[in-house]
Amino acid sequence: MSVQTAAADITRQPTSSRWRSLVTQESVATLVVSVIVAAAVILPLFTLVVSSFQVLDSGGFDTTWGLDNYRTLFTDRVIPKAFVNTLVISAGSTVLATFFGVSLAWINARTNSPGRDRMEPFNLIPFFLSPFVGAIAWHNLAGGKTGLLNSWAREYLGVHGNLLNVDNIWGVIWVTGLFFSPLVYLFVVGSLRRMDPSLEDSARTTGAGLLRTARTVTLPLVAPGILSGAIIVFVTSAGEFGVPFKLCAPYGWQTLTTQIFSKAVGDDANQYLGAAMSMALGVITVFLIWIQQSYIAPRSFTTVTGKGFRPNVIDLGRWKWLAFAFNFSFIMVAVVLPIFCLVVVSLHPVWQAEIIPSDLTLHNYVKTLFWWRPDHIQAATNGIYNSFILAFLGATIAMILSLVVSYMIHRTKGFGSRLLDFLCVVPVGFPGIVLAMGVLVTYIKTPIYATLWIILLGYITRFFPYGQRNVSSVMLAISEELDQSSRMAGASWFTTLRRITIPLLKPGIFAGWVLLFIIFLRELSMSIILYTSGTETLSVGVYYLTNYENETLTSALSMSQTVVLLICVFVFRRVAGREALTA
Amino acid sequence: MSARNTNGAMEAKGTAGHYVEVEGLVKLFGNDRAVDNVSFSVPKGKFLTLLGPSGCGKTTTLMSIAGLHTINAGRISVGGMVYTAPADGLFLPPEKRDIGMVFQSYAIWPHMTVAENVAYPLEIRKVAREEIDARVTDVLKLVGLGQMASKLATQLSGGQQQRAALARAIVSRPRLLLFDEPLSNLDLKLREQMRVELKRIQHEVGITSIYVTHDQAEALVMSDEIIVMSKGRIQQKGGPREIYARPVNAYVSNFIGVANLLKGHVTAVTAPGRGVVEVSAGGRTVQMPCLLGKDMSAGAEAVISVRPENVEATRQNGGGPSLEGEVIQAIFLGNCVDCRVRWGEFEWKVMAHPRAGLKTGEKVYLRLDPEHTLAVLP
Amino acid sequence: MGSRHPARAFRHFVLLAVPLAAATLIAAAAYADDLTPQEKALVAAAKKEGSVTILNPLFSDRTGQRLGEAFIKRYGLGPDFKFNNLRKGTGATVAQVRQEIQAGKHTVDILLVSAPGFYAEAVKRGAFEKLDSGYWKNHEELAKKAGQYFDYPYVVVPLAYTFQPVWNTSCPGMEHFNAESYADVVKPELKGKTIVSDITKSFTYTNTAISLAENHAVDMDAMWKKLKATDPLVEFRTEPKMQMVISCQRPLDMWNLSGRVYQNVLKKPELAKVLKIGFYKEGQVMLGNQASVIKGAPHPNAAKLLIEFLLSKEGTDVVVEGEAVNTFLKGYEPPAAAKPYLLDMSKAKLLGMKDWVAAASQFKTVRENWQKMFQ
Repeated sequence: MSVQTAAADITRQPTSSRWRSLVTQESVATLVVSVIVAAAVILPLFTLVVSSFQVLDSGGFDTTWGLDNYRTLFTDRVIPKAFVNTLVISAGSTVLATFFGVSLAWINARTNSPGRDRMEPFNLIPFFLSPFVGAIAWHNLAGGKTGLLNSWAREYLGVHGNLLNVDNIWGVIWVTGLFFSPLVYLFVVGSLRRMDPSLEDSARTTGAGLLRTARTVTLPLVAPGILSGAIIVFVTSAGEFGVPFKLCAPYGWQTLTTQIFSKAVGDDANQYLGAAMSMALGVITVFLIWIQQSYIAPRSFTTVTGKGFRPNVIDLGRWKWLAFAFNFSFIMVAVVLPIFCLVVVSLHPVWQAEIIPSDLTLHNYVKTLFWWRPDHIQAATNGIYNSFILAFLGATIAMILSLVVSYMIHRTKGFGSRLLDFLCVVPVGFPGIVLAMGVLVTYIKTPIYATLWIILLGYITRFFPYGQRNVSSVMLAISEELDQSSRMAGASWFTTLRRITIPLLKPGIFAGWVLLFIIFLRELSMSIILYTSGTETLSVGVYYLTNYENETLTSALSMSQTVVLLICVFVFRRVAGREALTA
Repeated sequence: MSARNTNGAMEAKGTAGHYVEVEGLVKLFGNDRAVDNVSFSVPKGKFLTLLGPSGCGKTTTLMSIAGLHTINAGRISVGGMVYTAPADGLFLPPEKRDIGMVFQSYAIWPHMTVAENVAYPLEIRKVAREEIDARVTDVLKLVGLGQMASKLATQLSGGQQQRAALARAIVSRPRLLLFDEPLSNLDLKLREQMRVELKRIQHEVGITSIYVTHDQAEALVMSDEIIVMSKGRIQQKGGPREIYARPVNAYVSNFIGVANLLKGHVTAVTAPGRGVVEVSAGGRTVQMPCLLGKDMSAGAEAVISVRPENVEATRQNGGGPSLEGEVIQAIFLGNCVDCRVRWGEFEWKVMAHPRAGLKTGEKVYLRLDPEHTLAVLP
Repeated sequence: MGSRHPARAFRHFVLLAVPLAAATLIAAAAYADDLTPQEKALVAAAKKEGSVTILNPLFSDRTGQRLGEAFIKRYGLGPDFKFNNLRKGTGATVAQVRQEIQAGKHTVDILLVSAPGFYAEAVKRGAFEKLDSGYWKNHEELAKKAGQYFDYPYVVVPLAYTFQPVWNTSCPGMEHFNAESYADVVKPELKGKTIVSDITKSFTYTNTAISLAENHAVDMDAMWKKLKATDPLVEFRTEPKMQMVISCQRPLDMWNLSGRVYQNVLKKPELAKVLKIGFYKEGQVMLGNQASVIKGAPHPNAAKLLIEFLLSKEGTDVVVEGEAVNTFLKGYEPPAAAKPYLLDMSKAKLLGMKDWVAAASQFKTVRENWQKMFQ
């Protein structure tokens, strides 16, 4: 075409093209979401940091700036010991969880142990239940004189005194390790299943025996998965509040989380000292998570190929029955026994370590569930109602947020997306209690204080990374070209999201939603800081009952919570399928 | 083709000028110049291929034209409309560019049927339902998927998905078609078949097309013009025969087809475009009369490029310049024998006729035809 | 009745009507008499406010419900009035109110808890509403005699509890046990049967220890040593300690609340036979629970009215019946059900402190000494 026509065409260029490069639907949404995430995550942490440098005076109202809080971490009688206890518990739980997680994963993915497919969903159940409830159940099973197992041992085995005692640090390690075994299991089983069998076959063809192949080929390939799982367990144990609160704090062993709790709302309330302790704990856990995310997690993809195949299964011969027994026993001990105990205790008016058939009654369930009756316990019935609302609303909002954030992290490039990725991981590193204190102090002057909204904010801030991971893993599997071809076909960014991306992500979205629903329903450590009359949650109800009422009422409400969670697990399993949880 | 496209700008009709114009395109990834000052243009209705190995910048260039990448410098215009010009602050988002694109993975949406996939661009453009149905049916027939309209995308084979992707790309009669290595996931026989199919369809609908591939056979079969790229730069532009017969430098020689390449320098210019180049390899030196590249003068560094089929190997020295060597490999390929002949330190690739019956270890004499011996830039 | 015997009918009528009228008049008079002018002045505004929230560590759900019902009924506040009993631990209640005061954001109207140090500090900051109480004067004398902290018109003391020894006679070795003195609860034969309350976890235990020492009632150091020799279990929450006593895990708790025993007996009446409460001849430290209305509270009039109610006989009845706590109300006669669990205020030796606020400065040393021994 002639130069003049071309020039004329170019000058007739719509100027809206210039704006487009700045204000696209995509960039606006990115900005809004980034601001929301940054505010939600950074503000509470910032408040904590500032608080840790404020020192409370003896009157209890005024503060001055100083480093005394940090000094107290070392000089106080209890705090350094609490720190040591926390490390011991975390380390012990990690070892126990790794032992169970790896052995069960190996049995399930690599051996011909009978019934392993049937047993697999049960291996995962402890992950979905509340460890606090688990601690309550184990206290009634094996906690000194009132333990059911102990009384059976006395009666049927003639044992003097108490056979078992979980009311100490070892009990905490036992319960925490059991309940977090599925975390390691998930990492390792996914790794084992996705492993290309030709990697091991090639070792076998060079003459290496079964054990040597396992040691020199399989183990190193699974190592990143094991390490990832172990770190997650360590961090989660360090931040666990309910189990030490029930099993070791009352008997003389404090942990950082129980100390932070007592500094937040105990007699010696000093939220500023609590903030300093939170910083100490938080820095360690965030560091560990960062290591896991940056260095270990990426390496666990090295064995993934696109093709599906069957990994090598080892024939154990007669030993397969031992493997079966091991798996079966785990399920009995980790799942069936505690639930059985909850049921038994909840049916008695007062628990005295023996089953008294004439005493059995459903009255405790009536008092904790039937809100229309005059003798209901408010904290319990409020709890059920509030927890359901928080779980529904929270899961929904968190998934919407996860969707946009995942999209931004995986589909846009550059510094912004990497920052967002990091911001998403940070809340996971901080214990719930710590984050809740930050949220409380940050938002106490706003209208959301003392309402369900502040609890909702806390939940979403802390847990939306879980939803985001679910969405991200599905998104990674979806080729970017599916979105790009929609853009090329003429669809705007938003239309593409609506018609292509979201429909394809549906399985991941729903799986994430159910997972978050479960997590919100059983959450304790944040709720306990942020609740007030009328906004109690289910776990707060259990906490209230354990403080002011007796074991039987506590067990009744705990059992109700467990039943709801089990139903959710069933639904989750149905919808999301086997691979949905693998990390 | 419609006179007015969805963007309201007038299409220049019936001009012999260039429809797609890319000027001075630069794309940086960090400090890496993925595309380094690339300029070319495509006439209306023609088929251009960007050819090169991975990392040469061909896909980045394509993505820049599509608008899926922003660029650092340069200007891209299609049909007289400027799509990208950072110097003027202009950037048209991809969905407004009226481009049909076929991706390497086909990108057929698994949650929709074939018909729904193909109808998508028309729905976006708010075409009336009856017209959508009619056009979808037509285009599916064109690509040979007439019976597959209601099948889910996941029920299609690779080749069928490819056709569906093509159908989706052309159904809205876009002003430009872009192809990103669409055949590389298919197996050999299917690839050969689809090459021809694609070209036929493109020719029938007459939409200007830019095609990216690393497979030189594909490029030779399908293109009106080929651009060979390496390390972000254009090595040579030209039609298939020209590129094959007259490669401009050693890189292009070796990339398109197979070539024997020897380093040397021009010793004499005997006529316009003709001369003598001296080459040596491990003690042996020889003067080769050859066709000279453009602007080559005496003393210039050059590389001799001879295709294996243009090297004659005989048992007797037939007179004239010849190279004495030993057959170190003779592989029977059916229609020819792939020989390697050692001459000094150099191994000549020779395509010998099966009836010559050359065997390993034999002494042979190689003769070159000056008309098919090229001196190219190093 | 019929018209056939009009005279008899009229007599029947009078016989019925007069007592009825008299009763009505008496009831009306009683009602009218019961409300003091201070109460009357608050009723209308309280009704308008529509709700009240009392934050405390004491009232169970049952007590809270009954308290609410009685409160609403007495002042005719209407069926839409919301009574919120928010129960948290001692430390948590103080922490929450302190935070709200500092933030200027109030969700709690009344704070009821034993924490003299906090109240004194808060009064200094003008954090409480001024009360005009018709009933406080009936408590003041006995409260003063018992050495309690209060600061009218900002801080009153509607009730008090005290730590008493509790034991379970159905446990092995406890059949003939009786505790009347601190010496009884630290006898060597009680090894493995005792509980020591963690005084670092609660002001109330610490204050009890300080008061006993200050009044020279008990040699605390010696007592702790003897207790340590019995290998006690360390715990601070009263309910779990009560559970330990009931289950015979640790059949003797030297510092528990009669109210706890009372509530467990309500749940399982057979326990009344075996759970026993004693009191110390050396003296019972009265831990008064202070009450104030927070300045800036959302329902100040309803709150002031509730304080009045708690100080009145009717309110005291509800609380005493629910929690078996003690009151300083002069001449108060507790309801029959709770009586066995209460101190006879006129007979028992009541201990307090000269300066509860100053005692706070001793906390650190007292707690550290205890910690050295038991932790």
